[in-house]
Amino acid sequence: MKTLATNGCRQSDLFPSTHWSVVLAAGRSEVEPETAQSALAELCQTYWAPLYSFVRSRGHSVHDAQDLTQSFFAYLIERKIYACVDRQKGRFRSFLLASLKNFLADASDRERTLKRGGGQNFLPLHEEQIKEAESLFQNHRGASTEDRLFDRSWAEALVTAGLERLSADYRSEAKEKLFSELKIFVAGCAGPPPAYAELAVRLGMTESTLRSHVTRLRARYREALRAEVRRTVDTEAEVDEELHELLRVLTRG
Amino acid sequence: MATSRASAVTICSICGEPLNAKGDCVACLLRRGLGGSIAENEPSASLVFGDFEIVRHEDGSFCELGRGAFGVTYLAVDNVLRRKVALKVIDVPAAARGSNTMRERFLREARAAAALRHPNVAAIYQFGASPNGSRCFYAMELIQGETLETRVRRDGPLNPKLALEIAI
Repeated sequence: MKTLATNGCRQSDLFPSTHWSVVLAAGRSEVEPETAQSALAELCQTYWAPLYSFVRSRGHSVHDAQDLTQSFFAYLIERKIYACVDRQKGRFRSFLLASLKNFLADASDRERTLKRGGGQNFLPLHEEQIKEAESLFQNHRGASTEDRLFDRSWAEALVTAGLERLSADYRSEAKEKLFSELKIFVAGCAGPPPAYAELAVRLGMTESTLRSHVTRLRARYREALRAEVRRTVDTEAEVDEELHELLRVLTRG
Repeated sequence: MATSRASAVTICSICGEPLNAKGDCVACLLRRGLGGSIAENEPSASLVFGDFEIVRHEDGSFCELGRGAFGVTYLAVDNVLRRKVALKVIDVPAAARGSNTMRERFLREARAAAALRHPNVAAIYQFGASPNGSRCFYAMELIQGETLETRVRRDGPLNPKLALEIAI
């Protein structure tokens, strides 16, 4: 891959090659289209559910929303929409939402999509993934605007990806049970968190060891989440901005 | 857009935001990416709030007594009067520091608790804020012993006489 152009950003601020920076580089003909499409596909796979939720919020049925969401991805690739992205205009999240709105606004694209039965070949999805996307939509359909619904769904997809990344790490170390017992210390809960002393006894370790495990888990989750955000933004400073913005959207209804 | 939800929402006991369908708090999970609790952000710092200093465990972590919707309560020492206290601390997000809203809410909570005089209610000693407005705190009487929840989980429901003595 060629060096990314700085375009107003300090070189040290840029990540070497995140999914989003690869897509951006494709817009400047600095990487092969296949590389950019592959990066875009991975991102769209992770954030399929917020896209689907947005389409559902426009009143489309479950089935049509699935077809339209799948076809939206085909539209991004076939029309090379990603090649027109202006780096100064923001992040992957904003780009996707703006592109999705354009796609849905084009009635001919939409109708053609539904007639041919969607674009299922572009992004392979599991049944479970589709069910979770519908559940996500139902959970956030009370949001005051469709943009807010999209952002809140995005926030949820983001932290889910961060947790899955961390869970996979613990699984690879054969520490799945430890992860499931301690996850509550990062993910919150409805009741009060368990007392360290009681949990330490249950897990057969000292309280001090348990505290160390919790501290490590929190630090590792933080890094996993930030790594996930990095896939969708262009500079390190934008990681914090993105998290702050999503938190604002989430806590303001 | 529809504005009603299909089912009752469960609330996170730490921050008060709704939990998602998997029982996770998305707001807490996002905050963790920004740094999370005081103990993670400043593992080597000495945390002093006015006359009060938070006590550490042997492994260096801060001695946390509990977490609520508003903040975290730590075991602390009053360096002037040389006694242990419970110190409740809230982090004020950077975006909220200009408005005083969070500080006012926290102050109202402290005033409400301070207005009570009862043998079974912890006394409030002092309210304060860090110089840059990033944290607010209040110190209260430290009650030693187990929590009511621990007791009930271990021994089952309290007998009515004891329940009345505690509650009234």
